[in-house]
Amino acid sequence: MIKKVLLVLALACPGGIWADGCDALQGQTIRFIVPSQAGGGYDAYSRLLQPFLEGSLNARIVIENRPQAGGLVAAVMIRDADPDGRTLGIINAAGLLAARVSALDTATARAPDPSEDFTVLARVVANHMMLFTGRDSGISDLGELLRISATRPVVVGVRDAGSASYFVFPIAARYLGLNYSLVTGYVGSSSRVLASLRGEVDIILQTLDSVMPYVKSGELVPLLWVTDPAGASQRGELPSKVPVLGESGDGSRQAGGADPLGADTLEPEAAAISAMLSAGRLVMAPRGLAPALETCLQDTLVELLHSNDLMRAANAAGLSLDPADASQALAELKMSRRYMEQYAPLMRAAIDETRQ
Amino acid sequence: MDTTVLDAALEGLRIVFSWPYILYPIAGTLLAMVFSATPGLNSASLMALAIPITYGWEPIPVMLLFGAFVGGATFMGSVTAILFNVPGKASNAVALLDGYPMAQQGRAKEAIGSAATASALGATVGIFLLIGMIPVMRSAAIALGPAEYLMIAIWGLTMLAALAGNSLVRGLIAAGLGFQLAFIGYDPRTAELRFTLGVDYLADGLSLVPVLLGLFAIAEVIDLLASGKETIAGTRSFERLQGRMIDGVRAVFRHFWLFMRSSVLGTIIGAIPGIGGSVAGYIAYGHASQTAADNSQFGKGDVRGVIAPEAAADAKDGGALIPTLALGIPGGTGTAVLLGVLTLHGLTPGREMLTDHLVLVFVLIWSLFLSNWMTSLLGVSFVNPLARLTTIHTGRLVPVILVVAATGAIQYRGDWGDLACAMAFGVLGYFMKRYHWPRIPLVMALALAPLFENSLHLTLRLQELGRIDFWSRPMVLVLLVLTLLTVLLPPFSKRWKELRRHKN
Amino acid sequence: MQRIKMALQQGAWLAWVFAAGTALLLWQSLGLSPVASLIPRFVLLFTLLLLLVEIALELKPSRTPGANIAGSRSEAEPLPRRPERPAMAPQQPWRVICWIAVLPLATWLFGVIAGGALFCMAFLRWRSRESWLYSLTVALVLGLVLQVLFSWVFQAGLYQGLWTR
Repeated sequence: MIKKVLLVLALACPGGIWADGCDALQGQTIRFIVPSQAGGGYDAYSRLLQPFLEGSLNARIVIENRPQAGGLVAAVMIRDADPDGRTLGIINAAGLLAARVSALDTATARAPDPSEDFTVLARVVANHMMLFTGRDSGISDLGELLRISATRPVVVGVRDAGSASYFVFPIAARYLGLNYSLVTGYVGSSSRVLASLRGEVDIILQTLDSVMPYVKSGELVPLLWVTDPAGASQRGELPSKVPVLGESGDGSRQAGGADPLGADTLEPEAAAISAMLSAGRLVMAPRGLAPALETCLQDTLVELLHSNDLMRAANAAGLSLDPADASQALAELKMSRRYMEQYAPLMRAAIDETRQ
Repeated sequence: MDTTVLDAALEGLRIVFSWPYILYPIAGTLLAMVFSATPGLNSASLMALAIPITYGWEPIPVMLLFGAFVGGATFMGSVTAILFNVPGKASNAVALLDGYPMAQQGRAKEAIGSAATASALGATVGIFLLIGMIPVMRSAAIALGPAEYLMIAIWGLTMLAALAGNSLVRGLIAAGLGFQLAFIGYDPRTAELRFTLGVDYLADGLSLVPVLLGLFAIAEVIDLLASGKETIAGTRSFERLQGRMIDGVRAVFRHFWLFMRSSVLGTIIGAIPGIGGSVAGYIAYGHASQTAADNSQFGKGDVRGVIAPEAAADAKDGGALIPTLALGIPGGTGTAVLLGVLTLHGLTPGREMLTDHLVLVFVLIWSLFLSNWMTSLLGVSFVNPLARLTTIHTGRLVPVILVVAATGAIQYRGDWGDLACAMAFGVLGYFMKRYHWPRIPLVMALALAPLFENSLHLTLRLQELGRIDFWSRPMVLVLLVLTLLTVLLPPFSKRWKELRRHKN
Repeated sequence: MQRIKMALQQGAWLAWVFAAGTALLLWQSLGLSPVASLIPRFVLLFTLLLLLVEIALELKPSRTPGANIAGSRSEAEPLPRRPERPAMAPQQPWRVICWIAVLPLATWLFGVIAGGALFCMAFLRWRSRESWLYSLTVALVLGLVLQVLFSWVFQAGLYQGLWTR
């Protein structure tokens, strides 16, 4: 009887269920590990979140930048920390999966598995990636790109080999029937943007929010949504309608081409690409959190990411938010991993070609 | 100058020096000085810390504070480099090449005086070049590509010969070692791990800060202890220190043409995204050595070896703002964080910034200018107590230097491996010094090799695809001529003078 | 043999160490793709060749290595002895290196603040022969300054050692 009364009282108290979980963090210092340099994309999101999270948890958040090994070090630090809620972090889930699945060397083969080795707390933003071209490239739309591709290889500026976008491009190109040449070595999105503006490359694959100022000024022209744009908060700011890979009537589907994976294992590439990249930027904690603490952190983050104040601050900063709760984020992660494992041979083949 | 730009410049200047806005650059400068004097910390860390504090601030105080962070963060690291051979960060490391030998000769005041003057004046040149370039900023920032980067790297590498001293073979070997060290880690073009010997720590390559701390700071400490030297300055008496601060100030004006060339070099290199501040200093140093009529004293306490890199290192701050403000592309680590700050406060670098927010741009620029001068003036005000530190007994000073250097090494990335790396390079640096192997070509090659390899790969690939024509790019040809001149002119000039002397 | 021994005493072993390291890296480069190994192999081969030249030069009896090298030790003037405090006697470099190696070890075990303070105290007391009071005071002040600066002012977490995590 007494236990039932206590249970009812606990449920009735505002935040009663969560009181025990997040109470443990009150007045504490929480390390928030970021896989980029200060000023980088992940850092910007983390610093956007920082004051709001501090207010919600009544704790101090200390951001630690650990950009080494393309984010692998940061991921390992989060995974190996004590599961007491005092170490959190943000990771590039798609990038980590790509590194692990591609297993290009011993270091990447031992990369943590974001779907298994962590507690997923929330998704901050999915990767909404597009193909862009420079204003002076002579390519006005996707049709023009494909026409050019029929006469000569389209030159694509990409990030370092082994990244998720490097992984995605060969698949997208196969779907489009695009004849292309990759130019690797453009480290950092700004170098790829510059390459496009200079006319060194025909197209680049970027997230929309990283190049929005150039799109607004007309210096970069968006050609194609490579991922599903649903949820991309800046979609409405594009100057014109941009086709989506895989949508009917987009004129992008090309016939033909032998499928090295075999037709019976092939999933529609367009949906596959979206799934692979939708894992996005996730807030994670080590495995083994106390259930109450885990629930508290997940609910706090989701509430924050949907709050008007944070949305306003993100808009002011030119950062898009596309939040999802832990269960959705985890489901997308697992789907992402499945597709990546399926396409791993294609990715390794693309990288082997680069090494010749 | 366009009247709009002039009006904005004057309005920005008025704002910076008005009350209470003047408090922001003062506070920012003092904080930046403390940060930059601590090895392993830099303006990027300071700016990152200040971001949550400045949420909700108006744009003007933000620009004032962060402009001061950028401007105030360079000089103090040079002071520790000169006095103790401990560079505050990578871009300060060049100052120690001649600054520390000057301190060892009891000329610390002269070294600090010349560094402070070159720093303030170099920043001024960089800022005025930046202002002058505002109308053409965007096209200038876009114009430089992999081919130009490659030529800059080649130009820098040609200076290695000048820095090798009398043993060209050893100098080239040291440069080769520097290249080898730079190859360690991931090759971004092929995602292969190179030369890591299975060690996870090396997957990210060697970081310049621990290597510099080891090769110079720790190596010098070992040398001090092994040689039994009583103090850094060689005397316990402050009165016996030679050189005056004013001699250092005058030296900058005596070598004014060198100073101007170094400042312009620093601005141009700072404007190239991704190259890094240390490269500006090394190239300026190498250029100074290469073009000096008598370069026998470089590395042994030649004041020109302090003036050139200091001027370049501070001028590069102005240069680094060019791609940042014009294109939203950071010129270096500090400007990368600054970019984040600007976007978080709703200010979009690029065309919009240069038209709708030009006054704010000038507030940033003038704050940078003010903080540079403040840092130098404060630095020279404390030159006596600072110089006195070189007369402290080695036994008392060394453990403090070591702990500070170790903190800097480990704090840079929070990785104990960096401390171990610094120690290993400390041992190497000591033996290199003891057996007369030059260290400067090694660090210069280490700094330039990534730029060289990546630019070479990109240039060849783009040339192969027909996207660029290396030989028809004007800046490439200008840089090629410059490279040939700096390689051929000094020996030719020397020979010519000898012939004339013989004739007379 | 005598020549080799003399050369080793004058530091020729450093060139041999460099040569061995370069050869090792050259061997490692065999496992890399053509793109990744092109420039490294060129540099490694060139450096190895120069090292062989240097080793040959060092074996010549008349060689005066590395005069006028920027950054090399210049000839120091004799320092006047001051009566109030004897200078620390010169020591074998290996002993100095062993002393200095205590610092990374202490840091690894106890973290930056405690490890640094402990090292400082030990060095001042047993190497520099300072008094206990001076050694402890400097160590404590140094630790406090690091704590205040990094943990409070800069709010930058310092490395925690194995035993203090």
